[in-house]
Amino acid sequence: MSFKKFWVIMSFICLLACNSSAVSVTDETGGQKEYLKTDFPGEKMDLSSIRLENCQSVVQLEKNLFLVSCRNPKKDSEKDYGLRLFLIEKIKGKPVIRFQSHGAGDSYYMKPSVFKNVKAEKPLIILAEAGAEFSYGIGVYLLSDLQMKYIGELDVTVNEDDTPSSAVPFTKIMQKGDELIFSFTKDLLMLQNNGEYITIPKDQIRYRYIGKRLEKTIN
Amino acid sequence: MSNAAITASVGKGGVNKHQDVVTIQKLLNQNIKAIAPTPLLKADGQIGSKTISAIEAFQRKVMGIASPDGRVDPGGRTIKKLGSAETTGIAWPLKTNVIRGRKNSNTFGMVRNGGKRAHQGWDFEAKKGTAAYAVADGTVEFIKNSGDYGLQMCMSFKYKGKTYYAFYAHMQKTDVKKGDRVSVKQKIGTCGKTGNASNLPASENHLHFEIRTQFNCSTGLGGRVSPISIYGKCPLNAPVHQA
Repeated sequence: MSFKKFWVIMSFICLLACNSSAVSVTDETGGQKEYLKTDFPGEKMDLSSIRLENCQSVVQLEKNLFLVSCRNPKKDSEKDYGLRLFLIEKIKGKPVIRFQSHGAGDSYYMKPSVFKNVKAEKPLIILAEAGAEFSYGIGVYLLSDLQMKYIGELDVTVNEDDTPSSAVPFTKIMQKGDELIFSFTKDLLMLQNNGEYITIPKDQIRYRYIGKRLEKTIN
Repeated sequence: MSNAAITASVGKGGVNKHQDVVTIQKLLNQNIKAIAPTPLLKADGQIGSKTISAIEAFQRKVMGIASPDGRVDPGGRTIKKLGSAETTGIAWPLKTNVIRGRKNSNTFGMVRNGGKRAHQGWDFEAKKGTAAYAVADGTVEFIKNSGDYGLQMCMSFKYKGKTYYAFYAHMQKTDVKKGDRVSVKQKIGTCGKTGNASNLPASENHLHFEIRTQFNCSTGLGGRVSPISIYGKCPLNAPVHQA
């Protein structure tokens, strides 16, 4: 039985923050269509009451539900600092933090992209790409009924003009029940401890999630 | 140890081959501050009173020779000293040079995110509009504007006989174009917050500065060296001011 037949292949739709071509659209994934168009950066939010700083990307998920990447100096420590991904709910016009991620360290930016299964309402899958001069990789989060959790890192990038760049536009997500498979449509770069990158052919790497953490498999 | 070399004597009573004279004139210019008020020499390969006076000034002021002979011989003390002082021909890219936030994570190497990510150069604190300067006599190799590094300028230069490339990123504008010859300390543009730096708060504006050993670098640290290998020190805790 082929891999394709074995898995119930579902597609996820980029809601925002990534451009509409960001998701690999093929018949094999059942066909994908843009789910929602929202002006970027979405509704302007006053987050001064919760003392968030350097807010960048804002994604409006629902009327009163937002994803925002900001800094939270109150939360920073020596080992956990930098931009964080927040789930913000507006209650009676006031922002309430429902979730905040760990810090993205020395990253200059964090861009969340939101994907939704066309055949199931939840969870939403959020790919939060972060980096400085160049991309560092992608944090993966699941959101379901206001419950958000970090499941791991797609610690890969793609080579664009000799610069490690975001792999989000080349990421495919498939789901079978609670299992998620992340694969790619372009060869990837992976950073080694010596500061050099190696290239991994696109069909030789995938990440798998079965209820705990993302696990990387390289053939 | 310098790789500076001449094939025959230069100066008073010397053979004065054109290329050797050019070499000495350039070395003297790189040491010009040490022999002030001697004016900059035109590196034209022509021996004359200005070049000979400059040699004498160097021998007197830098080498401590009471009666200088105004001549540079191959393998002699003067050429060695001129070459060893070659670093004076290297300038810093800004008037005030200090690592952004005085943080080690803004220096070179696997220093980002607790040692998990690479940084390919030094980040110098620089407000938007701060003037940036050529670090040596050299040539503008390319100017590029791309999403990640923003507006970039890369210049080649010689240092101790080897070719290096100084790479400036996140610039606001450049005053030079590809192929231009630039002189050490010549203003080449202004710092900005282009590319991914546009996301940073104003307090973290900076010049991303690399020293490259190859024109075409790898995606990681390859083809780059820590600027400390050129400057001999890193302004991590205290700024280096350049006149």
